[in-house]
Amino acid sequence: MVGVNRRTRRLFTETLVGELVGISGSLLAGYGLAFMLDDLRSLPAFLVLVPAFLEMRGSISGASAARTATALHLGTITSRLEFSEELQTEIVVSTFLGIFLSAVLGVVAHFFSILLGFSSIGLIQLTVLSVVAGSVSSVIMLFAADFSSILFYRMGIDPNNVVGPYVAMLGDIVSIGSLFLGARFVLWVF
Amino acid sequence: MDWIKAKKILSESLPVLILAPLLSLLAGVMLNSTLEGLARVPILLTLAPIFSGRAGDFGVIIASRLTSALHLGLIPPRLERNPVLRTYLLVDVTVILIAAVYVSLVLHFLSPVFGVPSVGLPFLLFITGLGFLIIVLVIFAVGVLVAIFTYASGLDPSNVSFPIVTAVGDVAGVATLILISRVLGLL
Repeated sequence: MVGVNRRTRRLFTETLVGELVGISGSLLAGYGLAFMLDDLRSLPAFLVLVPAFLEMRGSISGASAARTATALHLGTITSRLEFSEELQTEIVVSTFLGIFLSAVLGVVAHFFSILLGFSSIGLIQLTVLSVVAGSVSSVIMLFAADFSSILFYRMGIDPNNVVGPYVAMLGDIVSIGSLFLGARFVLWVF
Repeated sequence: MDWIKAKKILSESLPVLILAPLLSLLAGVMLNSTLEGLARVPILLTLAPIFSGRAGDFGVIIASRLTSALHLGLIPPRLERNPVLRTYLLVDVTVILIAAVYVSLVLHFLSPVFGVPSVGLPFLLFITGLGFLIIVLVIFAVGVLVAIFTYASGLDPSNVSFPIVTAVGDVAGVATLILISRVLGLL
């Protein structure tokens, strides 16, 4: 790029790198969806749930990682991986949110689908699928988002600069994997 | 365990954490109504999270850059032409077009490995190129509005604005993908 100043070039490079990381996560999530095609077809209304579930996961983990990063900088969470009060609160809050909101989404996705004239696998089935996926992804993302912020901080890397795109990428992949487990569980039980 | 702090986080974030996924359900509804078409051309299903993801990412990038710029006084909180915004838009359009080429190449050559047939490189380049361009232009406008709103209302962007922007991105991304696929006769 001729005649472009250094700040613009830096903006360009940072945006591009962030996007390529994000796209790689979305690509894997996309392949995961294509891989689940049979389950998506045999479990009506399952696909209605998918984007909302990904969105919820991203919002909870992103916010939780951001809070942990701030707490690390403030010293209320230490990098020694001990269960301080602040860390306990973070774990309880993000796990509760993940499971509670999964249940809400399952219920709403069911009634939304029925209302719009789609078929649904059923209120209980869709909610169980969502809650199983929500629980599995909550536990994995807790380690992936919060504990990795602590590890980054220990390595001398500011988690604020790394964790955003990294959590978003991982969140997509973990969500699709968890939804697959949830779908398998529902197909197995019901 | 600090219950007061827990209650504070929950009461601040719950409304948005419920509202944003509800918006995203619309994207799910759109996908679900084209499920049979997506099953015939599964590479479009693979593209769905990519389109949603780009729209959400750029929305957040634009909104957070502008929120910082507003706080630093680099741009005035008014809708008007200015060089900072123009630079952002040029950078984003360039990045998204490079991203489109990257996605098309990966999809074309990697998809058969995952058992997803490609629809051909020219098709993929066209879908992602045009689609990403539409997304950036639409989401740029959304990002500008959200940044001005966040700045004016004094809300914490990471708790309130960003989840809403990613949800709007889900809907915009999926709508763009379905629209282009329909125009090309793929769905």
